[in-house]
Amino acid sequence: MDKGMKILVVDDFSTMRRIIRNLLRDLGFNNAEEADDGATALPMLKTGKFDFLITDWNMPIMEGIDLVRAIRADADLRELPILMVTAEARREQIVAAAEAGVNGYIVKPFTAQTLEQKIAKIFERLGAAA
Amino acid sequence: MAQTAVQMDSLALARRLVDAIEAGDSNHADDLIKALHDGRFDALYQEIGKLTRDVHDTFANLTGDERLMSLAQHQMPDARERLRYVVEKTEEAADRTLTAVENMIPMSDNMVQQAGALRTALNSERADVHTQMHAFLDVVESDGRKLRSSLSDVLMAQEYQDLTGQVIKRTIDLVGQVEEKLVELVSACGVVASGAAPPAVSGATSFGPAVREDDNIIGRQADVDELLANLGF
Repeated sequence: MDKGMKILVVDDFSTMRRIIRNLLRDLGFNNAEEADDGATALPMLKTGKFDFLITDWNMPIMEGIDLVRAIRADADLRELPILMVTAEARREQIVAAAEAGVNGYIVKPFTAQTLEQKIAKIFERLGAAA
Repeated sequence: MAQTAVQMDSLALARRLVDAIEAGDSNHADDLIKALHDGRFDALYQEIGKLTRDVHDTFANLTGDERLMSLAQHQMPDARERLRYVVEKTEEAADRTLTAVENMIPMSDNMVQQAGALRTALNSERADVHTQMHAFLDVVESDGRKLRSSLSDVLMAQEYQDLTGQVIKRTIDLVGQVEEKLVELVSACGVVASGAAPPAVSGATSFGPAVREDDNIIGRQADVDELLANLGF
């Protein structure tokens, strides 16, 4: 896993974006940018050469689940690893997120360890598959 | 009671209908069929009329209720303003705390780093005169690490703002919708509603944070992991 990889953090609450970026910095990931919903994130992803996406679900304009679907339907972005970090905790939503193609799912409130474990697991699996 | 009477009438009519058919009296049978049919519908119309009057009276009573008017015009907007204030203030507080923590984290990092560097410098001198200095540096280093850890906890604690903020924003939206409906209801009083279904809430796929227990809600990360593992993750 490359600690210098470029990460996009998408959440409509600025406090949560800051928390996630601080946690990422603690874990050694210093190259992160932010977007406040899917509609803002998508054009950034298309031009920004991001290596990893961390997104919330419940956001105005374009929800996280729609962002995931749009990414998986895009020829250039379909391989982008996605970690969903959300307060949405219904069984059918977790199933829907899995079907939409997320690589990991964290329910809020969460801990720094959970974030570290899930990121490690995602890249471990991607490494094994490559 | 009315329904039972109708049923008894219907039964008597039906028996007479069977008799008429058996007797081959087709004219009488036709009359009886019509009577049966009419009786049923008369009762239905009466019930509809009664329901309509009840609905009308209920709406008419609403106009006289000043509390409803006050609720729609003053209390609901007030409640929304208050909730919005809570969102603004908690967000402001969370932002200030995050800024303070972000300022302190590099300071504690620096303290730990400098203590380490100073110890290295002292180790090159005669150790006996520096014992006290070493003890001090031990404290600075270990406390610095604890400070760092506590600051991280403070940082994580701020996530309440996101969770409570989501709940409050949803409540504001709901209150806004109720308010709008109440205003419509009051202004259109005396007119029976069309009965059309209210528009769906924007077909949203998200529900916000789970604020109470539910069989369908998976609160713990371990349970989420188990579900995903079952799905092949």
